[in-house]
Amino acid sequence: MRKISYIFISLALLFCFEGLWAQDCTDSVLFNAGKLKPAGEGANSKYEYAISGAVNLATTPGNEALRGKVKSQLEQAIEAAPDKDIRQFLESQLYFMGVPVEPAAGPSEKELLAAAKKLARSRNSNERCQSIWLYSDVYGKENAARVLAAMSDKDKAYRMTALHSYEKYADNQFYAALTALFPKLGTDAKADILYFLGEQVADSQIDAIIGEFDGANAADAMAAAAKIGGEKALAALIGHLGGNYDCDAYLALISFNGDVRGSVENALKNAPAAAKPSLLKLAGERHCTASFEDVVDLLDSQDSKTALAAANALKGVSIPEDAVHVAQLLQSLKDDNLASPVSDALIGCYSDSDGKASAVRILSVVKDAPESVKERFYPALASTNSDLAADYLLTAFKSGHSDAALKALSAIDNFKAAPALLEAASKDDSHLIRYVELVSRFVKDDSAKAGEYATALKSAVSAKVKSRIIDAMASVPQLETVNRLEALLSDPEVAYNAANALKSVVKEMAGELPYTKIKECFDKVVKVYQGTGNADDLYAIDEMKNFLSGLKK
Amino acid sequence: MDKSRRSFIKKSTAAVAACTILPREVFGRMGGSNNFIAPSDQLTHGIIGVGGIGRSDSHFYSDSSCRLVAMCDVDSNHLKSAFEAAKEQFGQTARTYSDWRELVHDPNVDVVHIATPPHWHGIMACEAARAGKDIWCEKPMTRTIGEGKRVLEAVKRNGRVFRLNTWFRFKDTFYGLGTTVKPLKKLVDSGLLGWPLTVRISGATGFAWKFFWVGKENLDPQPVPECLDYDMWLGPAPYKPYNVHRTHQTFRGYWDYDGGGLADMGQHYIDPVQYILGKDDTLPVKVEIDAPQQHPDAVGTWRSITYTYGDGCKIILEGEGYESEGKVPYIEGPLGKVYKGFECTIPNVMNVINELPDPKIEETDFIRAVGSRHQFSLDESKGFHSSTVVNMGVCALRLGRNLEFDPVKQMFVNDDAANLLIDQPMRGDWANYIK
Repeated sequence: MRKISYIFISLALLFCFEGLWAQDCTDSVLFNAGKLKPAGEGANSKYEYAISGAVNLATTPGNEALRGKVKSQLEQAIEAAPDKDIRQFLESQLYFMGVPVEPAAGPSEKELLAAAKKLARSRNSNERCQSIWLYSDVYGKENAARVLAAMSDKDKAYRMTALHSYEKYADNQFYAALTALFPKLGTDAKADILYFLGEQVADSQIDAIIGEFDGANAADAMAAAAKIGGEKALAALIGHLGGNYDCDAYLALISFNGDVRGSVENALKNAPAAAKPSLLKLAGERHCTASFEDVVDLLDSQDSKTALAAANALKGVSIPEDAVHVAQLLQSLKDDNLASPVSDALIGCYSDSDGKASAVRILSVVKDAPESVKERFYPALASTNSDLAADYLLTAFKSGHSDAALKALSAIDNFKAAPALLEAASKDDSHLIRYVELVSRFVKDDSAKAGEYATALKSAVSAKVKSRIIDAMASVPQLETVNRLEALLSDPEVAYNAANALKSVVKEMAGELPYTKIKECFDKVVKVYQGTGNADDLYAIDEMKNFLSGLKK
Repeated sequence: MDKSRRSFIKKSTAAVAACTILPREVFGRMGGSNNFIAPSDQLTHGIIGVGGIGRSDSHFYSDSSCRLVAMCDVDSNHLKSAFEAAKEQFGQTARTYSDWRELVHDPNVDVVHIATPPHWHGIMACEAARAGKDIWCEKPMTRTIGEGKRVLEAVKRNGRVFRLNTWFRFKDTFYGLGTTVKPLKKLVDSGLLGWPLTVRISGATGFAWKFFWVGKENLDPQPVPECLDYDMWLGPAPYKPYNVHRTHQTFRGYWDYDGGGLADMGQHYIDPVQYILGKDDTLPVKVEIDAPQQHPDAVGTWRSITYTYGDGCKIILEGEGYESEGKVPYIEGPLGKVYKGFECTIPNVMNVINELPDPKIEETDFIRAVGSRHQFSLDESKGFHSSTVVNMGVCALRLGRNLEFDPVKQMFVNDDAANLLIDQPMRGDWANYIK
């Protein structure tokens, strides 16, 4: 008995360490190859690891001494391979013992030119494009004339390819030759050249480019000027704001290659009225804080478009020190349409401040404000996330400002808003989504969390809202959550979400739940996943099976 | 469209009849800088691979800007299902093919959408470029570095417009990082974080590496389903007995076709980083791995992969379950750090960023790019570079060692076996399509 045990243990040890030994030893390739079985007749992976491990070791730089041995063994193994699949595997490993082939010498210049000439006569656009590249290969920088001639070609792909082929050779002389073609070229070809000049940052041609600002190629020219940058381009673009190509000029300025702020701030003082909306937008986008007063003045513009642009820009040009001024503006605005963007500006002023202190300051303005404008301050109050603000808004919710207050309570990051959201959910269950977000954030105790989600579920009507609540339940490892999610598996509208959540919760609770319960839950989840046929779900089924197999029954 | 040609067509019915039998490419591309595409020049597209991602909105659409006119799949069930869906959803009766070459050479197809597993991408893209088609290609752009080089050359030399199907460099919230890429780009360009920078792509910073895309070892051979042309499914990949796990969605778990979660998600995650760091035209000089030995057929998991550029910038990938603990910066420089949600150690960072110009305008509308022949924002060159970063990691994992790379020669340094992974053998004649 002892002898049998000894033999058994030795064999077991030999079996266990066989692969390990083989992986470390390049002498073992032939041995391991001999163990490979035809597909489906044995588990080959241990030997495959060993062989590829030996190959990786032998091909590591510095291990050249090992290569001959491994290569020879692979060759012998290939000879002896019992079937083509094993041979193919061994050949794939032998491949790594080779040396990369040096690329063959390319065609001669004569051959390239012959090919280029032939392809140039083709009716296929792409073959003609190939020809211009071949000419480029041969002539390099000397191919300029051909590229310039291509600008008269009707095929856009050919023109653009010609320019592309000359990118690395192009210089100021070439750029000048391109723009000299403008009088003879149509809109389409000029568009290609302007694009090229912009990509190449051809600043020597900025005058010619600006010369196209007023024609059919205005957009192309402005985009090119923006890529090039410089004072001339900047002045020209600002000068075209408010004109026929206002939109294109704005787009060019917002990504202008350089700092536009000083010019925008100056222009805002002096530019014609038509240019003001775009200038205001730029001022706001580019945080032109020096323009704050100019922007405030324009809030009173007779032109509604300008006034709205000023309101929208206010946030971008304000700094925290402007808070009081902005609050006064919000209170005194005559046009209600401007209230929302000015409110955003006020929120911006307080964004880095202490919530409670900000709420105190805002409320000091609100308390003296006419009743008709108090609601304008609700978003700013909500942004402070303070208890003070929440209490004020809850009072407003219960009085004659319920809609505006509810909107603010839906935005505030404070759990005091929760009861209002629950109440509102009785009319519109979408409020439960925000309710659940607050619960997730502020309720720390899992048991309490589970209770809150259960309350939310009771009020949920739509599948979308139920699904969101279920997603949140996935992070609450409680038995009551498990039970609730199991029950939801029978609701086809939310079964998939419930299955995902149940899988997560059960995995989390594996240490607390009995094996039978875990298996029962997983079986139910598998049933839902199998219904989808989705590859990710099939993997999830594999994952659960693996998980179960690792648990003690 | 130039007016003279349009009036010529209107005047002469005989001329119209003649024009309709001439290839589209004789007339070149339409569109121009005003972006108008006349109905007579409405673009068309065909999709190769309609079983998985080929049915997503990126590919499976048909509208006035680009009609779906053809589709191809080696699985007849997928093809049938897609054909019916196109009829139902778009009222469009598409031509169906089981051989992708026929779709690529279909004169009625202007744009080829490549939505197959990655082992086909290089061959199809090269052939499509040579056939005069513009290309919309799934990621990773190619399975190997060598195929990527050839696609880059083919697209360039044939004057084609190419887009890779990832987009985070120009739109959408960048996964769990909780911000778009634009402010990150502006912040890095500002120099406020200093240089060099380290970027960490990890569950800790909002990115999941989908480790469920691992392969299975010891696959048993199974009968090939009647609906599947397995030989064509494999294409250039080595012949291995059919097992359902090798095909359709789960092909991602096998080196012959893809590279697991790294290759599946790598280009989505790494392409924006190349953009943010201003490294669209270069590559790392080193890749270091911390991973168990990989099986030669089935992709496994890994703990970390670190790429280092010549200037010291790094991209660190952390595998699932091996994330750094605590609060981890997404971008870290000598002068500042950026965390999830764009939390930043630079005071008033949003104000600072707002004062800076937006990044250079790029074309992010593919149909407009086809019309204008401008480079699409994520073109073949940028796609090649970010897919090469991914493939460098794949090579290091497969060989089980760190590797050095020459970004100019685009080859591994002093490692023949790694360079043998740049261009890999292809079954049958498929290599002829990518020479």
